[in-house]
Amino acid sequence: MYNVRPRITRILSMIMISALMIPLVSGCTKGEKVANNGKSTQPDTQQEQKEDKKDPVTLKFPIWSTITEDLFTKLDLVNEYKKEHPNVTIELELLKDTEYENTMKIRNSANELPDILPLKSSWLINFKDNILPLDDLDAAKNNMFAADFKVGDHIYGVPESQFNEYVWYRKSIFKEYGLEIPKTWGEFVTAAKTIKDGGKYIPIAMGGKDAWPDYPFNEFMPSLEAGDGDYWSTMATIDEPFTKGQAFYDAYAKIQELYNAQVMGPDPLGVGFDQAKLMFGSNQAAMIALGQWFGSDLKSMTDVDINDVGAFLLPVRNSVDDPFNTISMVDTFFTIPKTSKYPDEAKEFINWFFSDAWYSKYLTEAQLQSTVKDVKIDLGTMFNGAFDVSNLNYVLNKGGNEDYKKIESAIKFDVKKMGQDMMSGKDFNKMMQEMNKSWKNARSK
Amino acid sequence: MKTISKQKNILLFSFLLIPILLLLVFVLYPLIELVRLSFTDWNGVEAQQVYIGFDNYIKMFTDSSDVWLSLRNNGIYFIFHSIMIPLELMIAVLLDSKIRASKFFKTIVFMPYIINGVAISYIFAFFYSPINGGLNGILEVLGLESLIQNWLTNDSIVNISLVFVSIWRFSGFHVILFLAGLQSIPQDQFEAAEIDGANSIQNFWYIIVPGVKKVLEVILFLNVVGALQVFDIPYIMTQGGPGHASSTFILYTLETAFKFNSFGMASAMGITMLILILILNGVQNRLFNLKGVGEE
Repeated sequence: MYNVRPRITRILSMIMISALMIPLVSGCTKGEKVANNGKSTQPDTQQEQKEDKKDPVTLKFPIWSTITEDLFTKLDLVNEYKKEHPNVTIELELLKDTEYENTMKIRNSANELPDILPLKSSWLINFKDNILPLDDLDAAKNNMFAADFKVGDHIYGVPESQFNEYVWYRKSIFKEYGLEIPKTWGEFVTAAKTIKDGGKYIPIAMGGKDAWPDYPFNEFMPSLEAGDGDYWSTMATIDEPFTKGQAFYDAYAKIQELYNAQVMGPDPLGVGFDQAKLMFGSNQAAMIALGQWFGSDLKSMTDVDINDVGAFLLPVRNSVDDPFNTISMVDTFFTIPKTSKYPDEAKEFINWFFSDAWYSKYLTEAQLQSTVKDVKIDLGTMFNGAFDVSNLNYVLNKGGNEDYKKIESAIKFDVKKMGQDMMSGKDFNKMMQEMNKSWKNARSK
Repeated sequence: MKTISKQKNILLFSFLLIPILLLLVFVLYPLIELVRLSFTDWNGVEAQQVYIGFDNYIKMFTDSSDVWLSLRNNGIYFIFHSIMIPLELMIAVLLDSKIRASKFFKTIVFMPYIINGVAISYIFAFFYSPINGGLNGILEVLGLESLIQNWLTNDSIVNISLVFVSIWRFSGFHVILFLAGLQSIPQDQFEAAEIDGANSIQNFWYIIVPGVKKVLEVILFLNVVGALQVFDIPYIMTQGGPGHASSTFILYTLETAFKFNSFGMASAMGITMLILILILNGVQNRLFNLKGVGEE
């Protein structure tokens, strides 16, 4: 018995030491792995060996879309870049799209932003103090839209792609009901009502439960009605934009007309985006209004006859003589946080990303339009005829200036939630009156 | 003697140092920081933080009707869960008596609590779904088509639908807590009552209820905290929608912070919630005179 205690102490000490050693040993193993990886990709040419002598650099690069992740994997972005810059490793990190902005805000407060930070246009203002100006970057100079999204006097982000918003439709259903591609808002609503009256299909699939899928209507239609891509900033100069005759009100009156026609199934608010997508994919729904990005989603869905799917631009105009305004989106702005340890390498990467060798290949695969001068991308047959409309006018969507952001934040202005309220049958005029009141109030402060 | 006391102190100090440090760093410091932020207009991204006094607290209750709507929704959870408490106690008493397969029933009752909350929310989202949804399907089979509803999108019933899920999930846990309380009541009290000729209602009222007072206190506290902090069920099932119809105070706080970049205001809401929990719990304890058996 007397000898038992020291033995137990010895055993316990051994366990503790072993436990402490585990991370140390695993750390070594990791290090070895990295070194081995480095070896396996070690290039043979002399020039590359020279590059290899540079200190190893890891650039953290988060993304918010699984589609992008799949494309980067398919086209092997990491190794393609390594071929030219052997010392640089691109570390991709996939984040959930709905959580991306929040995650970056949290990381920003901990000074842990990545080296390359993709942002949406409306987030540029929020992050402007934390990212580097990129005015002198070649990629920014060659970009057709970077200067349109300056914050203050500087370019902070280089947009990756441009795309349009479409109404995707089933050609066979349109044929069954003898429908033409609508050219005005009235024709669009009538087409939806005709399909509804047929009783076989849901005219427009809407994932209203998730709120965001109503964005082609509730977010973009005020800009389309006004023919002003920066309508949110314009709105910030008006006291009562929710009054009849104002673009916002007029656009929303049209949307209300569509929602009231009940052409989005028995309960559009009970259906999420995934269900809506499946409804369109399985031919239960005739149309779905979404951006160009939906093309990739469609292709990834098995059992969808792509030849039966077409796309047209959402017509918002009242008559064929009016200009046909259509939203043009510029998305995924590449920015470099001030806290990046490797700003030069990050700049080099952005320049490479927008170089012809990678960029054209990537955008063709992603089926998105180019933002770089002189680079044209073939979008394929799905978009045939989509742009054959009279008086076509591109409206470049912008996220709103700081005045708008202040009002948005003060009154928690959320057009997508408004869309949900409209679908649920809330009193439209009362809603507009209340919005006028709170908007005016926020502007006066 | 001195050495022993010194050693004792060193031992105490070294044992307490780490937990106290952890408490200071991860609880007290964030709390102080939260209070500080609630007096600023910080937007969560910029370095600039301007002190604006009690503006956030005043704005919270005067400028936005949605705060009141969210609090009302929290109230619905609170009321329905409170109504369930006596029922939960009765179920516990039933399960504690010698009924057949009581162990099986205990497991069944406790099961919802151990299932992941996110999974439960998804299951019920499908159950309530208007397309091929389970509930509407059952009603159809029973020939009760007239009762079919848009369970998660109708403003007037969405909160009830969500509260049902919450009750389904947490009631079992309360029952198990009550069971633990019941088992701690000494058997001789029941025997003495039997000799005195007490009936089962008197047993329930004079032995069981006072016997589980301590558990009741815990459950009432959990009820207040749970009702005010309900998050995952509405977040996953409706995202507070349609509009803000099923939003709760936490959902609204989250939206304020991350969607509208008002971290100052969101911090004020966090502090308000803390105060609300303290007040409601205090009121409840006074109302039910809950001091626990051992503390009287």
